[in-house]
Amino acid sequence: MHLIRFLGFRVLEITSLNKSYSNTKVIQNLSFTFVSHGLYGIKGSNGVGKSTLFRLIGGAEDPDSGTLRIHEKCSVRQPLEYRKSVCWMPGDDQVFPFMTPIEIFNFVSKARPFLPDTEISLVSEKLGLAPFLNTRFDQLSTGNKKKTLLVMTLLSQSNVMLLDEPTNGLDVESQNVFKELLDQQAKQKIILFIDHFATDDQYPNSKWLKLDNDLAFLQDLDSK
Amino acid sequence: MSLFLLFLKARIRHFVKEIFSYHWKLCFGLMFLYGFLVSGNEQAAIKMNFASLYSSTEISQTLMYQGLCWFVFSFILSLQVKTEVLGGSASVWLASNPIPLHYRRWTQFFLLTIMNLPIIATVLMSLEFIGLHESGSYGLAIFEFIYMFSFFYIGMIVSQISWLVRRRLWALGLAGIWLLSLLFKDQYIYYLASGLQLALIALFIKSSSLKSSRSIPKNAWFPQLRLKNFLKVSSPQILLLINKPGLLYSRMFFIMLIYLLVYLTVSVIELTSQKIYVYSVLTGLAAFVFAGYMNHFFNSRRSSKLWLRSMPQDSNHWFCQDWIITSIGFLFIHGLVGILLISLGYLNVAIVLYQALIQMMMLKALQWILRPSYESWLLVVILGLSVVWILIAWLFILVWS
Repeated sequence: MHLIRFLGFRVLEITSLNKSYSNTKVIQNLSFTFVSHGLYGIKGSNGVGKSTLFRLIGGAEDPDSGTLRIHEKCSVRQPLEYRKSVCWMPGDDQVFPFMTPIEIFNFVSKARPFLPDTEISLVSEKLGLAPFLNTRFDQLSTGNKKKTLLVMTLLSQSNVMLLDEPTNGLDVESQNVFKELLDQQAKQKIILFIDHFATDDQYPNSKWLKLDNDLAFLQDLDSK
Repeated sequence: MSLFLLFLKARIRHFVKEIFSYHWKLCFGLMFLYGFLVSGNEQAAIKMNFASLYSSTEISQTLMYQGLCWFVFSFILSLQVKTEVLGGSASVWLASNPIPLHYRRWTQFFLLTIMNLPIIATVLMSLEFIGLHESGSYGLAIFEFIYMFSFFYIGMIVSQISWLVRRRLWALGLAGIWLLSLLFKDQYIYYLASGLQLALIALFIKSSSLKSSRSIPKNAWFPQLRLKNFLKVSSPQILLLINKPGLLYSRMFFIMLIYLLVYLTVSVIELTSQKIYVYSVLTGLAAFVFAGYMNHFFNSRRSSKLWLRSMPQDSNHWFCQDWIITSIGFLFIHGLVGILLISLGYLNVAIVLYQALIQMMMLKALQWILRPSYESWLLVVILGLSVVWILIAWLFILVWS
């Protein structure tokens, strides 16, 4: 580990992370280091803290204790720099309902590093979102809401991307397009995702980790 | 274009649509306006033929009291209906259950009544006990609430009918009320206002039902309320309240607090009869209620809080936006209400509203100041803007008066 740190290979480092809600401990003393880019699927039973972990890594919530670092940028000491390096995909009830997808993309592009408009058009076209770019978010179908959030996350220029149930509500064709895009992006960044229905065949390039709350660690299933 | 302008552009673009998509809030706003209009209009009071019961000052106080009661009642009801009866965001899910909608609505409204009446009675009795509420007006207060509830139920019946006959009977009912108001010329304004209330309540319930009216079977008729169905529908609600006492008590506490504030205000009006105190208390109350109402209306970022937190932006940035947008919202609503009030000759009421606005903005600023991470330059900006708002408000009052 010290050698890895010395060589500066760590992309995402989670150290002694703790999070509780009221009296319920959700994340307990969790430590894990992601040293290389790629696609990482997180497995774990319901309520084990997968979504909470994503919110913590994504900077949406603060941990009770512990540190998060992306390329040495600490979530506590350099919160803005840290947040630039990570992009968390929110739930479809967590973005402005009165904005259209294009307005949401413009908004996000002002808030964080974002790919240019040409990329927005391209990815939207691929996912079949293009005809709905000027429709209010709360008037979109479940699938198109998800596509909006996916485009928003995929086009953010961050080192770490967090996708919670990314394919829920997507049709098969869009799922395939999304997975292709995901594989392309995984070459340049760390992509963590939660997908309860995912199989190893569906994500052939993915590494699998299991979050186990009782043991408080992320277990690398591939190294088993 | 900055983040703020992007947000504002999108917000304004959909602003009018949103106003009309939230009819219940509009109705609430109108009820509030009505409450204050009635409270300030002594001429209307005399026409209401209460002169034989009260002196001129007492009429004014009674109507002020009635207006306030209406205001608080509609506010609480809006909240309760939105969150409990219709299940808020769960309304679609509730509508998908195989329970006839009118059963659910009726039983839940009865539950609301049952829940509210003991609270009202407790507060009234407590106030009477500690001597803040005169025993003579105790009966009147009970009457006021029964009166309000009865109107609410009448509104419900009207709205139920309107669903069944596609608004024709509803329109007929309104015409009937209008005719009544003409027949009873002495109580012209009284009936007119009651008709307006009825229409608003009906509209309020109707619009609050969201898309659920589609689930009403065509042959349904009200009330068709059988004990079996009542228990079937209401028991999960009761169980929910029993299983989540914290939720129930916190709501009860909130409701009690508002009632207490209203009755304290009324008591102060009755005891002091000095307008300066009355206005001060009213301002405080208005600021308190407006805080909740307007915050909810304009602060649409509440559900987006987590998402915004994950952005690489200083939290002060969002707070600053929040304050400015809330200010614009306040100015917009107060501007409309203020113009209406002043043009109708209710300058004093408009001043109370503007005081509430100013207090609210100062409270928001204070909220910001009390945050651990505020920056001094932002503090200067926010205080500067507060002063500008105050000047605009007073200039507005001066010009219009």
